[in-house]
Amino acid sequence: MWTFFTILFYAGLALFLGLGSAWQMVDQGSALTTGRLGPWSVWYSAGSPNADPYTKAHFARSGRLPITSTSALYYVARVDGEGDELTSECEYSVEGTPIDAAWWSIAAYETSGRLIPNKANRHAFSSRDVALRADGRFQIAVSRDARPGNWLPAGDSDQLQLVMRVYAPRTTESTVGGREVDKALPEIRRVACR
Amino acid sequence: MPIRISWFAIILAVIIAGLIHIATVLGLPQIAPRNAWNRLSSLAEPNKLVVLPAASPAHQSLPLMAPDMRYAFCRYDVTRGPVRISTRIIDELWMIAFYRPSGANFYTISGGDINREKIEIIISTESNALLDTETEALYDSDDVVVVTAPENSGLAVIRVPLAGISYAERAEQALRQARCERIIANAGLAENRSNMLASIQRELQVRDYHPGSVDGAANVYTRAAIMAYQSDAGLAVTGIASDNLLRHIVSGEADGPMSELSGSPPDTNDLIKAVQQFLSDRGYRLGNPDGVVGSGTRRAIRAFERSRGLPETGRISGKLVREISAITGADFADAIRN
Repeated sequence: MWTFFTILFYAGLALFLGLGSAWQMVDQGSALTTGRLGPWSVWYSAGSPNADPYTKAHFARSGRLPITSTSALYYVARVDGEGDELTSECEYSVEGTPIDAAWWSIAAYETSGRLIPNKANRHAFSSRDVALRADGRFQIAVSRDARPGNWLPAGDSDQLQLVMRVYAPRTTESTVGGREVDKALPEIRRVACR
Repeated sequence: MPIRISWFAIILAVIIAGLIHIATVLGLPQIAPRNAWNRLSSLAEPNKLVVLPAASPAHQSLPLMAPDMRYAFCRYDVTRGPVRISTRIIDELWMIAFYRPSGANFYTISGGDINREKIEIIISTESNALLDTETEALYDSDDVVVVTAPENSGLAVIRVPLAGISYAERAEQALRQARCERIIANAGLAENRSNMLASIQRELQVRDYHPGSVDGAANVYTRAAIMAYQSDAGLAVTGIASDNLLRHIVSGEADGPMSELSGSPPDTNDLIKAVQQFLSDRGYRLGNPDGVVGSGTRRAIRAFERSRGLPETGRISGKLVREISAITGADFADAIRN
């Protein structure tokens, strides 16, 4: 005869596996729905009317209102190039070549999605106001303390995330399975920690 | 307490886990209380354009709002007719995206796509789209984009990525001048009689006055429906379509004096007379068929409605005329059709 505890154990197991896997695939995404490009992740069918249930659930829960990928792309980084979580305890260098699009921007947020309060009142760099180096590339310093050049304040928030928006990307999707923007994303390198 | 390990139970638990997984993923969009639709809906009336304050650490209308972008949105509702969004477009970066309440982005147009300084977007469902002739009469068709909404309500979001900080003020000013409104509510739009009639017919139809088909041609049902509306609204019952009447139906008030509504034209008199004659022939007492709806006529209509099992209204309406036509055959409507 099944004991009460045995039934409770299996019911708990089913609940744990079911909810856990659903949460994981909705919150973090999976190979089915999201691309991982170094530190950046992207939900490929964000905003699409034909999006899969995981993508729909992800954006309904987040409260965001993304534009479909033909007009805009959104990349989110919560880790650096080594895979370690981004934190205001460390200083990072975000470096890359300008992306071939009508407009792009890199903004810093707390992990909750809130902008980071800072005295400089600087929350993002866009293709229109980022300073380029002589070699045509850009470098943005993400750190708590002020840096010369493109400085994106990390504030005092413990963990942070970077969001890269690319509007009207001028790409041809001729290469199967890959987007040109995907390959042109900037690197996130940890410089130093306290 | 020992726990029995059995393969059967493990497999069962995994299957149930799979069902829980599917139910959770499919159910989440329905139960997510803080999705974008709910957040934005609470900020604005339907068919009003709202410019969102610039995102800052202290205030963000949506999570992960871009700090270097400006947003305006309209929660459109096309249940009672098409809605128009009009805005200036300063550069190719402007992007107007349309969403279903679920957050699905079913249409997007950017400044780069249209390449002109202003844009008019008409949103309607397939069933209440403007007639081509109406659209042509209202707009220089080059500036108009018609968007078919999959549902009666949704969101239109205008995004302006900022080309530098100094650009922000210009962008905000342009957004404040943008509009979102029901098309019919705009006075003076009905440029000719046929458009005006079609508009009145559509407005009466959504209000359940049964004006017959929405074709811009006055028929006996349209006239009767107008009379029913006038009767309900406490206006002189004339059955005449006019711009003022259209304004009254849409906004509940007319701009000018309704002078053209005083006195009845011959064809309306004919309709009233025909109804009176019909009732009189069937033995309802109402005095002389004089073409004027007085208390005797109203009492007779009530009695007739009661005998036919209709709601008692005492007014001439599309329904009443249809009922009488059903009894007399086509003759009745033909007799008074112009």
